[in-house]
Amino acid sequence: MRDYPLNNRCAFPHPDASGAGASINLAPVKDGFVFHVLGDAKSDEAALRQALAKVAPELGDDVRKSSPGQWFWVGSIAVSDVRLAEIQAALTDTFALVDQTHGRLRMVLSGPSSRTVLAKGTMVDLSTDLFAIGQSAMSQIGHIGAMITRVEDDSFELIVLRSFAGSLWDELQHMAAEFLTG
Amino acid sequence: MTGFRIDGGTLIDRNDVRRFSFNGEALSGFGGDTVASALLANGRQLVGRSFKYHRPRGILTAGAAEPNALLTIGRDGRRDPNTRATMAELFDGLEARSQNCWPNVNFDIGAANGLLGPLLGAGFYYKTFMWPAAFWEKVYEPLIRKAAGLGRASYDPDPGYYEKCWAHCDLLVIGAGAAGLAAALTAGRAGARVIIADEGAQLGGGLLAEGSPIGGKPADAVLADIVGELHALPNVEIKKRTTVFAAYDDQVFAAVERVQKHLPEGAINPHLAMERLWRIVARQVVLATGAEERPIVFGGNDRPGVMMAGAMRTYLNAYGVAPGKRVALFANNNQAYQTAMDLEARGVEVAAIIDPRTCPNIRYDGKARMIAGAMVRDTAGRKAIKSITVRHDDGRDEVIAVDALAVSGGYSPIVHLACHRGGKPAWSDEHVGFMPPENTDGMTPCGAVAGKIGIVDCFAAGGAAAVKALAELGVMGDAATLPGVAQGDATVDHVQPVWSVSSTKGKAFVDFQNDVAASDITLAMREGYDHVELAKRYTTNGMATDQGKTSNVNAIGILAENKGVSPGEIGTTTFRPFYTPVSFGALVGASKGMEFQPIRKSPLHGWAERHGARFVETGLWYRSSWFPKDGETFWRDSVDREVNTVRTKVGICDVSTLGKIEIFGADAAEFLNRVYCNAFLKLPIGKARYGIMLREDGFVYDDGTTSCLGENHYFMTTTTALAAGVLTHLEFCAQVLWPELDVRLASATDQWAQMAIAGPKSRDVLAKIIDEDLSNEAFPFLAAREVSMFGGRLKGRLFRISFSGELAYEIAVPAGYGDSVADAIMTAGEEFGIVPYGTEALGVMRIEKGHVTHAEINGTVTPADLGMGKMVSAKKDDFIGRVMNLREGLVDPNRPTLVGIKPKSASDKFATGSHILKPGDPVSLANDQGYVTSMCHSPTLGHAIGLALVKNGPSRHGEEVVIWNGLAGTTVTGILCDPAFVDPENEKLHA
Repeated sequence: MRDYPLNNRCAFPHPDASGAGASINLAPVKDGFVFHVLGDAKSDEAALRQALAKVAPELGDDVRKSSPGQWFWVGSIAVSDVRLAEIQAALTDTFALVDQTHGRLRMVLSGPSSRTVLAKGTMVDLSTDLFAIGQSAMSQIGHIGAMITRVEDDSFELIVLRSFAGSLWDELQHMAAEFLTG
Repeated sequence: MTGFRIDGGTLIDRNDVRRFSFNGEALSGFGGDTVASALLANGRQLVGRSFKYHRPRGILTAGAAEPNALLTIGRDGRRDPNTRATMAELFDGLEARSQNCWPNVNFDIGAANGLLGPLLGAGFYYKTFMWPAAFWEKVYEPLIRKAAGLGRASYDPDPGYYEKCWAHCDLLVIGAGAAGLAAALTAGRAGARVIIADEGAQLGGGLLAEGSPIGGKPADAVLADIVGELHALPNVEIKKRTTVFAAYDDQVFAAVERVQKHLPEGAINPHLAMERLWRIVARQVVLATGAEERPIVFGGNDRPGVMMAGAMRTYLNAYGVAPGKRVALFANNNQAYQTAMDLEARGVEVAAIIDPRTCPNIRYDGKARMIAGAMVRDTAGRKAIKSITVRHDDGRDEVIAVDALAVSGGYSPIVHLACHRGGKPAWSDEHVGFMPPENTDGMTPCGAVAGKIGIVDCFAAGGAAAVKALAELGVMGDAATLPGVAQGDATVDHVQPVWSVSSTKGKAFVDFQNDVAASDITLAMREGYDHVELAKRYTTNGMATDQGKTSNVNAIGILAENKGVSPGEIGTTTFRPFYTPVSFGALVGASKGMEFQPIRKSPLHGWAERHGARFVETGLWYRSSWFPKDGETFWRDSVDREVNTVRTKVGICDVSTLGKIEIFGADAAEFLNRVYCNAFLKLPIGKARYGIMLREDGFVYDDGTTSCLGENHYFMTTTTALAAGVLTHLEFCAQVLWPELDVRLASATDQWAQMAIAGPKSRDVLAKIIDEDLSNEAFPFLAAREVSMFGGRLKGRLFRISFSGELAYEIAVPAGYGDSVADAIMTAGEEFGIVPYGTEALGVMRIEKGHVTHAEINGTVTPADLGMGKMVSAKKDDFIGRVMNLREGLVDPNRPTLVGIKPKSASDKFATGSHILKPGDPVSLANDQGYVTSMCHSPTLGHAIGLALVKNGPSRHGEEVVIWNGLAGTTVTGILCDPAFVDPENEKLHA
């Protein structure tokens, strides 16, 4: 068989949107995984974490609740097809797992102005005392659906459908333009 | 500068000289000036012409309610018509022009309308332009429309950037006058998240115009202390130049912030918004919007030089501008007297104070002559006031020469935001005004809007309101202590209502902006339009861009007076957003041009671009339509070539936009069996099946294929258009209809790049990249399973399904690899002559094959109508749409049913949407036999073909019909036929 080149193409138009000295930084999360976990009617987050710790402790348990009984499980390690199949098989009793690594892309907006920029798109109150680190909300940024997770003090991860990623990226560029001083 | 600029002025910076032009004339003002204050300082009292009569108009107010001084400011794309000169901040290079005048504001031909005044009363166009009837649309209406309106919008695109934002707070304080500042300070000190918004360029409201000390300190020093403390509180957000213009449910308030509208062109940051539209979510609100001073309705009350008393005080104290050299005051309340005192203190002569009250209880020790029990009856002067005529209580008239007149008819609380959610204001005889509704749910009115007068009372009221609002949030706070004595405060007032001056002879205006006079209101009453809502519409009172801020209460008062009832019995018209005009730029925000709506791109978008695709918008998706090659100048050249190549060789098409849904759960098969009308319970692993979903009413909702990929794991595809709708439908079924079923759904549309590989050589192409046996035996029609690709380097999902009617497959790979895989397929297919093909060729081939899409599945068809009646299970206990699909009307054999249609002569063409008639029948929908749902040129057959829904269609194959295009007025002879124009025996599919 001919050796066809296979590249995992990035859906973001530009790799980096920060400028020197900017109070805002937008960067894609290029590696890792996004798994959509679908629980049964009785499942809860504690049970999910317990199951993940047992089945795939090496991948961590960074989960974001997306809707009742559903979560996005994310991590920075690349997971092979074989390992994914093992995890899916091990979880089947309670949780179905769908690979969304290519379908739901992650980007991180960070910096002191990150809340101000996001307030141009989302109606979620992201203030420090109401939106704790680790907390997620399924929302919209402008007209594009996105899951917002606070990952650090002034740092927010956005999960967006791949087909909208370029559009959201461009919109965030416009929203952040006033803070991009570089 | 002229003699109108005097000493003082807390808001202006005399070291910052700003040059501007007014109607082309070079003038100058100072930093801190509004356009209005700068014009007054330059002695320009005449600034515009009125709407209907083109009467000379000046500056009436110093704020948001201005009905007269509306100017066009800026040029080209940055031109803003109908800008209130009283709100526009002066910047260097500003260009302002008067409106509604020609050739200029000083000599306006349109002023001839004033001579026609008696003919142009309320509703004149209903009565005047009756005959001949044909003239209304052709002559009268175009003329009236041409004459209507004030400023003209620019046709140039606005180069500015606009945006929308959300904000959240515990307490929103609307208005930063004495009450608002005290509320914000109280809440800020208590640690609450506070937003204080004010429409002015500076916080302070009425404090900015206060010329007297407060607690022994100058008013501006007291204000500076408060604002300084607010700035220092990290939990207080100050929004200047921000008008809260609407109150909505759930405590959402809309505001517009003028971020850069006050800056000269060179200072505008292109990355910063010109204006920002805020949606503010506030747990509690303190409404401190103040009160609007009311004009008095007397003859010539619109003449330049007539100004609200409070506005005159603002220009005097805040901007250092004297409104004239010899001024009179006409007021029915005590507060207005402070204007006379301040004028005198600044050396302006106050010729007289005319007070309709016979015994005004006022301590006034100025020089002005007091005329009690009197009214200003009329004014005189051409383009500016020269004198007033005073009617004394003994009936005697006296003319007094003045060059400015201050007027105060009392105060109307600015209750708009308290009423936007449906509340009705209540009349108060005590305050002679409409007060906020009693129940304002999460909103506490305070200060002047609640009837308080004087700065000290407003300080106290603001603090108390904040304490009350905080208590609702469970926060304890103490009202901020602020200076307790204000020398300029009137502590007790007695307003004597004066709705109109009966002895007036000249035109006495109620609504300045729409030129509604008192006589128009009484005319409306005489003609039966005496209800406040009818009177408003008959006279247009309150219907201009100022929404009657200075006119509505006077109109109500005149109605009440003439009916002999209280204004409370007349009531107000309905308060609706917006409080003041909001630019389209702010409402649109960033959604313009390419940012009008999000763009959804397939993972193969870049690949298609590299192959020269022409894209078409389908919803938000950009889909590749066709791929022109060199020399192809017409879209059909490309499409015909693509179709011919697929039919004879092989082609690749991006179908990633199809909806894809992963379905899991122990009851997934049962679930599918219930949502599809055909059987799915026994679909084996590794197989795909075409399915039809019905709506509850028995009509077809959507179609697609669902494959069984493993035990309790299915993969559904939907049409592109209904991807979201179908998932929502399935979620509804799972969560609401059958919660007892174990089924879980996940959208996977974006996870996969999916390509159709179609044509007799498709197997040969795929065999070069897929590691498995693709023979007919090993991978037959409707096989579906995960496959290894590229020597085990990638996993994909392969489906043997066909929309084109050819031997075909769809291969899905993780989206990031789509580009590479499509390239690999093109390389692998090179020896077979592979081409990329787009949705146009896809559409042609599906019509040739007789496959349906939503052109046929149009909400009015059943499976039987589409020739698929046998798919509807008769064995299943139940499925969505089962019962309603059996309705009498839905099983009628005469229902329009799918057929093919072609022209009798191969050179003839016809259009989608054409109707089918029997030959010889008159051309009329009464003889309608059906209609064409899809049509294309078939490169395979060499002529036009189509699909149609025709009464009893399948039994009429071979029948000659008339294809009638009612829009074009043409007919073509056609022949009904089998909808499968190509390979009706399905030999290609199974090859």
